[in-house]
Amino acid sequence: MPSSSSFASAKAEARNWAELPLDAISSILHKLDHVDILMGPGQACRSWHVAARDEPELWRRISMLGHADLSRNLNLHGMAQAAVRRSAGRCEAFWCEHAGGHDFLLRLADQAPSLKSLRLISCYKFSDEALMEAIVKFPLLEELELALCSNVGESGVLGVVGKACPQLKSFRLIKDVLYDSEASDYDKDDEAMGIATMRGLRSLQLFGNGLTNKGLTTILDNCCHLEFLDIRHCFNVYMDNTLRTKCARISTLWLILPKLGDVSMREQFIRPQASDRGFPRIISSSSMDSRGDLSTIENQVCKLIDDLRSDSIECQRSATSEIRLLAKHNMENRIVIADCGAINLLVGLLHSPDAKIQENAVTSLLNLSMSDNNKIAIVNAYAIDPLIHVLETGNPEAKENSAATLFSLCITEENKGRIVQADAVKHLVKLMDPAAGMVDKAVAVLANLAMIAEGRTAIGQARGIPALVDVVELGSARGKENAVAALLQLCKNSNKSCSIVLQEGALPPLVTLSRSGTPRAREKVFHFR
Amino acid sequence: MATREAGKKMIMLKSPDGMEFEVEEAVAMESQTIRKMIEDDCADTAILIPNINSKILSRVIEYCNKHVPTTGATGAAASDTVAPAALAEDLKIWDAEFIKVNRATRFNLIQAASYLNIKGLLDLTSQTTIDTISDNSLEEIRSFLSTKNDYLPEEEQTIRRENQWAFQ
Repeated sequence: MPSSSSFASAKAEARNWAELPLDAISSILHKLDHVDILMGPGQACRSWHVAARDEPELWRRISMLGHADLSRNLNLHGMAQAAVRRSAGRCEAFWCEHAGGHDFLLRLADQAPSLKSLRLISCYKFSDEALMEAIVKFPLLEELELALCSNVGESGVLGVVGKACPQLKSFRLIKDVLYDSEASDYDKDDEAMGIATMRGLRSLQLFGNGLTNKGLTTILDNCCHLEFLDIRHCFNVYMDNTLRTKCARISTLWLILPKLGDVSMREQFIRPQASDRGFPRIISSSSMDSRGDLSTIENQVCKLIDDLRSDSIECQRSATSEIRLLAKHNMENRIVIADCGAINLLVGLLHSPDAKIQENAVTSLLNLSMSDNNKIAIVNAYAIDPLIHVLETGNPEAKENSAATLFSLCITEENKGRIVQADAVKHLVKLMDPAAGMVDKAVAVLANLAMIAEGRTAIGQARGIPALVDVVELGSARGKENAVAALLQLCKNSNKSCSIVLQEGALPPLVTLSRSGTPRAREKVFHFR
Repeated sequence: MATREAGKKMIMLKSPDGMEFEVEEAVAMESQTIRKMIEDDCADTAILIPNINSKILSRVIEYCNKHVPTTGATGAAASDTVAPAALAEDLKIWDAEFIKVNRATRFNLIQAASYLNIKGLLDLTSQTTIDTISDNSLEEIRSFLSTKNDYLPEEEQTIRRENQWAFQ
C-alpha cells in the first residue's frame, strides 16, 4: 500500500465540494425537497447554483408541500415561480401550499403544458376566473386537488375543468368547514354537477362538501369508472337505500370518519370488503360493532348540542358537564361529538362568564383533542385565542386543562405553526412566572413550539430565553427537563440565542443538572457540548 | 494478489497510485462505466481507473462485492436461502455501517460513484450528504461543503433578482 493515502485524505479534507462533477451534485440535489433546494444547497456557490438552475429534470415533479410554517417569512409564491421557470416546460407535477395567485396560475399554464398533476393547498389568492382561464391549458391533467382554496369551486368552474381535462382520473376538493347554508339560496349541488362532467374519474374525494343526494346521484350516474369515493363530512348526504344501491360498485367508500389524522390521506386506504347484502362496506365509524350504541349516542349528543345553544346557564352547565364525561374515555364518542358540531360551540363557551361552564368546556376540548382528527378541527375552530383567555382568567382547574389542551394540540406538526401564529407564545412566557403556578405546563408547550423556526423566533421576541434559563435553575424536575429541551432547540439553530443563553448565566445550572437532573434532562444537557 | 477462482472471469482494476485489484467480472460490472468498457472490449488485460486512489477504489470494490446480485455469476443457490426482505434489511444495515466515514472519504466516494456510474453508491452517498446538511443555514452548508460564496458581483445581482423570495 503506498503511504500517500493519509496525505491524500488530508488534502481532500480541504477539498471544495463545489468541484464535484455536475451529475454528482445533481444526484445530491435530487434527494431534496424543492423549497430546500431553493433555500439551501442550490444557493451555496456557483457550481451548485448552476446544477440546481440548469437541470430541468430536477424540476419535473415540483413538490413544495410541508412548508406552511415558512409562509409568513418567505415568499413561497416567488419560489414556486422560480421552480416552474427552472422546469423549462417539462413540469409534470406541481404541488404547493400557501402560494399561487391569479397571475401565477396563468403563468403555470403557459410554462407547464404537459402538467399531469396539480395540487393547490391553502392557496387563497386565486379565483374561479383564473382557474377557468388556466385549466384549458392543461389538457393532459390526470390529478387535481383543490384543498382549502376558499375562493374556488362555484360558478360552474368544475364543469369547465371536466370539459378541459378529459384525462382527469383523480379529483380532490377539500373545504375548510361545512357551512350550513340552509338559509341561503346557494345551490348546494352546483359543484357536484360540475364534477359529474369529469367522466373519467376513478377517485373522488369531497371533504366537507355541501352536496345533497341529488348531486351525489348525478355524479354516480355520470362517472361510471369511479372506484374510490370519499364523502366524509358531507352532511347533506343521507345514505338511503337508493344511494346504497348506486354505491354498490364503488370498491372503497368513505363516509363520515375512518381514523384519520389529516386530510392528505395518502397511506390510509381501506380494503374493499363486500358485506352480505352485496353492498360495499360502509365506514361510518372506526368500529363497526358498536353501531347500535353509536346512533343512541349520536342522538344523545345532538340533544346536548341543542342545550349548548340554549340561553340557560343551567342547561349549558349540565350539557358541557355531560359532554366532558362522554369524551373522557371513549375515542368513538370523541369522534361522534366532533362530527355533531360540538367543537365550535365549546370554543364559544370558553368565553362564558360562568366559571364552571368555562371549566367544563375547556376540559371537553381537552378530551376531544385526544383524537388526532379533532386536534386539527379544534385549531380550525379558532380555539387558540379563547384557550389563552382561559389560561389567563379561568379557575385553577380550567387553567391547567387549557394548558394541557394547548400541549395536546401542538403535538401535531401543522398545529405548531398555527399556535405560534395565534400569538400564544408571549402569553405562555408570561405564565412562566412562578406566581402563576403554571410553569411546568407552559414550559412543556414552549418546548414543543421551539421545534419549529417560527416558534423559536417568537420565543426570542417574547424574551422567553431568560425565563427558560430561570426554570432550568429553579423549576421542578419536569420543568427543568423541558426548559433544557427548549433551550437546546433555540441554541442549535441560532448563534444569537446561544449567546443570550450564556449571558443569562445558564451554564452553572446546566452543569448542576448534568450531575443531578433526570436522565432525560442529563441527556439533553450533554447535547449542548 | 487474489488468485483466479475456477469458473469465474476475473478483471484487473488498476488505481493511479499503482495498486492492482483483481475482481470478479460481475462485481466490476456493478459499475456501468466499467461494464461499458468490458462490453466494448476495451479491457483486455487491466483497466486503469483514473482519479480514484487505491484507498477509495478498495472501498468501492468492497461496496460492489456486497451489492452484486447473489444469483447468476456467484452461484445460483445463495439467494434461495435468504428471504429478499431480510436480505434488503441486511444490506441497509451494512450500507449504514459502510458510509460511516469522514467527510473527505465521502467526497471521494461520491466522486468515484459518479465517475464509475454506480447508482446505488451514488444514492447512498447523496442521501447521507443531504441528511448532514438539511436544516442548516446557507453559511453552515457552505462551511460543510468547504466552499464559499464565489459569485461575481454581477452574478450576485442576477441571483438576487432570481431569488426574490428570500426578501419578503
